[in-house]
Amino acid sequence: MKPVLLLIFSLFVLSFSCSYTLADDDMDDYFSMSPAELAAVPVSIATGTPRAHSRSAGSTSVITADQIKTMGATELHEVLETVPGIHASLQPLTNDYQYSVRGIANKHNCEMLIMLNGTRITSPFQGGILAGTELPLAAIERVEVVRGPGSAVYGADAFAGVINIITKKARDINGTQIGVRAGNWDTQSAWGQHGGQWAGWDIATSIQYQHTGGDSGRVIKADQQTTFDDIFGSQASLAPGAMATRFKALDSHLSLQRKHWDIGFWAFNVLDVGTRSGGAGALDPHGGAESAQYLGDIRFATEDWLADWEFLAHLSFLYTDVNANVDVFPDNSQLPLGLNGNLVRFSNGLIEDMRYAQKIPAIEITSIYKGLDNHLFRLSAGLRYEEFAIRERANNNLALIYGNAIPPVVDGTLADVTGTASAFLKDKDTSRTITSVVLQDEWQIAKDWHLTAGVRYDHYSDFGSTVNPRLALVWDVNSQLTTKWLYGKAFRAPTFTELGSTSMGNSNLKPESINMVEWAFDYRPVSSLRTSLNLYYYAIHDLITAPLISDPDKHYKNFGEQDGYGTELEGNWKITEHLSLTGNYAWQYSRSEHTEMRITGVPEHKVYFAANWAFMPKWQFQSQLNWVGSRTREPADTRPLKDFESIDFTLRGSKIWGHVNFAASLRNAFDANNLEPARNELPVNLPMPGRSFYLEASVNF
Amino acid sequence: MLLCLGLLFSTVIVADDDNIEYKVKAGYLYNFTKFVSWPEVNSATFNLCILGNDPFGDTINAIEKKTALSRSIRIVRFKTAKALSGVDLKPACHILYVSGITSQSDVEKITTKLKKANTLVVGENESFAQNGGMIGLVNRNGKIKLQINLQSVNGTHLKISAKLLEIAELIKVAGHD
Repeated sequence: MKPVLLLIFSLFVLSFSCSYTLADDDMDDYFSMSPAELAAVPVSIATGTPRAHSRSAGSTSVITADQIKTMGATELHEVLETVPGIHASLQPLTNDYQYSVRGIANKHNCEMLIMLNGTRITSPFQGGILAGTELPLAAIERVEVVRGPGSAVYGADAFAGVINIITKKARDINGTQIGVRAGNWDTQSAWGQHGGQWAGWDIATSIQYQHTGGDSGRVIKADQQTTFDDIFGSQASLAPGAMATRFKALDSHLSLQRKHWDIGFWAFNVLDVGTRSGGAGALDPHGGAESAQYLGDIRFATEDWLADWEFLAHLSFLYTDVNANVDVFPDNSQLPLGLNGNLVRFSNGLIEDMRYAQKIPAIEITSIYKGLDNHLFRLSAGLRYEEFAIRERANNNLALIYGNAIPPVVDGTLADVTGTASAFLKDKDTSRTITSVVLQDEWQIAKDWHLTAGVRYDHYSDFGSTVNPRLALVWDVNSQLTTKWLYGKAFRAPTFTELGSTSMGNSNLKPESINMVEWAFDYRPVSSLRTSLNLYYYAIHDLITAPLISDPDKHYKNFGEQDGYGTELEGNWKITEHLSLTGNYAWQYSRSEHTEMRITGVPEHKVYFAANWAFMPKWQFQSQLNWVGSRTREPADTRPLKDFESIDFTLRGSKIWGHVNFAASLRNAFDANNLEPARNELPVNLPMPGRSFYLEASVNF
Repeated sequence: MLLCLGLLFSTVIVADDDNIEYKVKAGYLYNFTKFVSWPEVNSATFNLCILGNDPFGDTINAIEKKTALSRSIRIVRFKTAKALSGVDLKPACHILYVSGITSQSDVEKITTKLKKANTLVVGENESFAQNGGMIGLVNRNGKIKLQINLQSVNGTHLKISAKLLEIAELIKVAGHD
């Protein structure tokens, strides 16, 4: 892969050296462009969104619906993989997609805040997006990613970055579209969208169904039960066998907008999701989960009622209900769970059923004062309540396991173990209240200088208070070059699992905190070429870590200091009207201050490169490469973890005969056998999806 | 949380790189001279008027070297439209670029008055075409897109070429709030 690296480096060097081809007086260029060409020129540094984003204390990437289609992505993780420095790995326990950026990752958690239309959907239970949520993309208008700390604006969990998923509004759909997609692994998807006006409201509604049988080639050769079989003399393991990656979900959205009002509703129903590599690292083809998530949002803005003031109110309610039935260990497994540590045989497997619900209402009131020249002040106050309730049933309750027969046998009988020593969480009901205040000023110091200064105070009813400031100074050196200096502090709140898990919970945890500084450049030598470069350094304190096996104290602890530095390079070059290149390269060095070793499992190098060729009007072909290199492992970990690479090809035709869109995509075209780090209990790392393809057609009317 | 949405704030926030943004907008304005047709008028110059605080600065001045309808283009700047009550813009404008005015009542006032003069009324944000303006130049994901309100163009003798309509988002206003 080194030649690829070289190629990308030389592209960037080229792009920085071939400057000044056009001086200030380049207006003739713009006058000679056609309307369609003008519409394609990126005008703002953060590709787009208003200043709020590009001036935020971090580097921003925006991926639009068009770009998503062009790259052939059908799920959120494929989009995020293209963002500089972000790698979509798997959460070791749930095997959901989990994102690392700048070397910041956590085995038990997500270090990025995930939002839908600006409302947090990160769960306080285990952090990150709720287990089993694989967001489809048909209803998504764009994805905005801010790398770097964002707690001064967004509060908890905007630690390594923020992912904001924006769904389509009426004007984005503008009519009706229906579409279908089908591919290998028994994958099907269908969607319908409508956007229009009714009774003075802009209304958008969409629904999408997706189903996949999962890649049966993701075979785990040996699992945790294989190890137990060796130790306890049983023959229960289902390995070698495929990970259970089947998935079936229904995703629907409703958006209502008119002057002053912005109302949204999202429903995400997982009808069935497999257990991937199993609840405890033992394959479980039969277990699974179903869930329902609902998010309601109401926003009101006074807009032009007052000359110097604007007031905004945001109310939201997130409700989630999950029902999981898991065979933690398979039929006829034998485990030393008897009263005296004697072996117990689970003839129907060790079963754990979990049902949990979270309710998160929130309100935020914001005032904006624009009466002072060159200043824009914001003050907002928020209140959020996080409630979590869990009910658990299992057949490993110690009270059930007695008798003289050796080994005693436990059939599938389930008992309510909620709140007992056999439960996952100590408490059946957990809740906390979060109050917050944000103060921010955007100050246009001079024509070319802009300063954003902000601070946010959060009070958590469980662990206390935290204050997180940020500063962003932006200098437009000339019309081609902008530079930014950024500083931000952020925190990640301990999750309910870290605070209250039966085996490892610690109610005295403090939040993790991070300080990051960054120097960024955005350079646009000609209108067809945009490049950016940043350098950053960060230090993390109070990292929440799980106990090591050798550790006498088996609880989560604020034991971890990490620091790191790195760089991200990005380029976007429209060579001709028909050919464009996009790419980025990220490098990071991060290490633990305790072990003085590199952080394991995160990529040192990350490359994305795409070439797009509009070979006929209405038709385009894109090929793209994702490459992840030099992930280190724990010293004792000998499981192979070679570099990750994936090459995709996508063909798209838009508005053929005016109404029909067509796409065909080949993903991981060369069937690279990619691996992601697995939990320690698994003797092998997790295989990622192999080669796949799909065909897609949609009609607009 | 609300601060991030951007959408709500877009009216109080200018795009990041004003320079490129307004170069592109100036490019569009010049394009309009080619893709919009005006009825025959007695005017020595093609008048491109800018109402409100001129956001283009010097960047647009180069347009005066160009011609439109076989006339040289002249930029005319108006600070205010006589407090909008009389909307008295003289000399007659072929194109009026409205800066900083977005409220429905003001946009309607200007457009209604200028329809009679066959002025193409262009504005600069999401609500402009929605509120009765003819063409809105909106920042959509970092690119400047056209919104055209054909209902507002109706009743004038202006003709917008299909080439322009093809790439624009057509705004239909269902009724009044």
